[in-house]
Amino acid sequence: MNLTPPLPGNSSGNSSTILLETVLQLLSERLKKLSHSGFFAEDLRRYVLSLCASVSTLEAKLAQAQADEIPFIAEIVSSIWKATQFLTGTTSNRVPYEITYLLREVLLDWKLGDCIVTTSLNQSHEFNCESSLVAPEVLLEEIGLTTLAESGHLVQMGVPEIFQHMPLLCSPLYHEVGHFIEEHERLIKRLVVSKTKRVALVQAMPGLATFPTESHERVARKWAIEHFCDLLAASYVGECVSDYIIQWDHTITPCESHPPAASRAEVTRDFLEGRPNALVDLLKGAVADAGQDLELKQRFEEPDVAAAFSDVRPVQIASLPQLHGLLPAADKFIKALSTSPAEFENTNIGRVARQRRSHLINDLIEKSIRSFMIQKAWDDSLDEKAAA
Amino acid sequence: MSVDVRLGYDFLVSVMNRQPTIRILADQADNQPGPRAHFQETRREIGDRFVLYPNQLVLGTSLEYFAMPDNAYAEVSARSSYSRLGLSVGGTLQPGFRGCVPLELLNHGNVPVELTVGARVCQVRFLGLSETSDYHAEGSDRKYYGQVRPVVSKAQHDEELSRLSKLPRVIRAPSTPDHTE
Repeated sequence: MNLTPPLPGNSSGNSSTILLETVLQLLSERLKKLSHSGFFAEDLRRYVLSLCASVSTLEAKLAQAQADEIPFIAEIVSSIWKATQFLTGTTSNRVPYEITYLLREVLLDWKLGDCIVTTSLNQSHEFNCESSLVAPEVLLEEIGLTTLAESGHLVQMGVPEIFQHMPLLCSPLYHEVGHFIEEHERLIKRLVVSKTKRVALVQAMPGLATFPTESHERVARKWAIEHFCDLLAASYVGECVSDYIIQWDHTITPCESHPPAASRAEVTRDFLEGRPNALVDLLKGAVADAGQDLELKQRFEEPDVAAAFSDVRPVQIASLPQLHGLLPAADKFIKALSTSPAEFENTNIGRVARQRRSHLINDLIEKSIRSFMIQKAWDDSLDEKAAA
Repeated sequence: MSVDVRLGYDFLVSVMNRQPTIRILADQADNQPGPRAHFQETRREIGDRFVLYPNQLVLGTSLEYFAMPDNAYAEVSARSSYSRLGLSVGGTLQPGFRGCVPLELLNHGNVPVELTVGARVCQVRFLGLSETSDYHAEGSDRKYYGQVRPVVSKAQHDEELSRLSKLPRVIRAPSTPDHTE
């Protein structure tokens, strides 16, 4: 719902102010209820308190607002509403902490460690990873909501509920987190500023030939974003994501919003295997130009999962690159189990009913990730203690 | 030999619902409320608290994942420090079992007890066997094999229930309702 009220002078302006007042009142009640939730992490609790304070400030502002200020207030109310929705989703106590942990590590790699990640389970088949901040920071500062502007970015991750305990099927979230990073760094926007690079981008995507020439640059921007997200995902989990996309994508006609699945897989493979590819080079260049020592490079290492999974045991993970690499390694193991069952005849996994195997492997992946998380938290706290 | 094991982070909490009893029927269809309908899932992080109310059954697991050898089994019991608070835990791990130790937590006291996820609440005592056994061959269906989180009872899959429901009336008490009623 768009809360932006009509322009000043419109006769219905007053009723929109009443709507804003009512929405603020309702948000205030909802946030108070959320602040009483006993299971909040400290950073989330602080965020809720800052939202509560922002709502009170907005209520006071609204009472004295000039007509031309109303649209700005409405925009901020939308932001707070979205943030409240995110926070509500994360209090269900059914959060897939393991996947959240993996993606927090991705955000840390991309210098976005101040993000507060919330996770919810979607009823739809959609994955998402987006920022709650609809209102620009300038606007928040203008209206005196500095706490909200400074309290970091709230990121919402959404996972289809039926994949709650299927980490391998949640790998598309790596692609979605790419959208968040791309938007934050404005990578493609910056890339297409240069005419030379715009032309190079169009030339690097032969699939654009199916569209009229005048739409090439517009479609190329959208496709470039998708390719960037694919490469970011591939840098952590290899071909898992492009394989997932190919299995889901059955579109026959060319689509403006997404490049064809086959070309996505090809670009991903070129990136992973280090083959020359103009598009990959352009995207790597865009990342390097963003500064902050960011780099689009392979960041995973596949652990040896065969011995553990064949014996129905979790894998002992030694490092963060191995943690991300667990997903592509497990993906390969499941495929081998399905295509060459005879090789596993004398193993414990081979004696498990076929229809249970995928679920069981996903459980073992989840357990492996959780064990790593706990071990790391335990060791880090010991390190801090030793340092103190 | 015995080792202490720690409380895991996933729980299934028994809750009251519209069903007056937990029904365990042979060949239970998916749309019929079985044991799952009486439990609610909740997750915690390591170090979080979990309140166990008097007489409330909560299914949990150990943090540790066990891969039992074929020539040993294990018995699970509460640690003395927790037994003294009214906590009761029990169970057996079969030779060849894989998975986190299932913990059926019950507070026998009359005061709620706060447990910490990751705390050592129980112990597992290992006992050697003179012979090896084949875990998969000896049971028709290993229902809880490889479990990493609590799983509700799958008693409805027990083979004898199907047979029992089909026994002729003459050897069953006249008041026993048929499972289709």
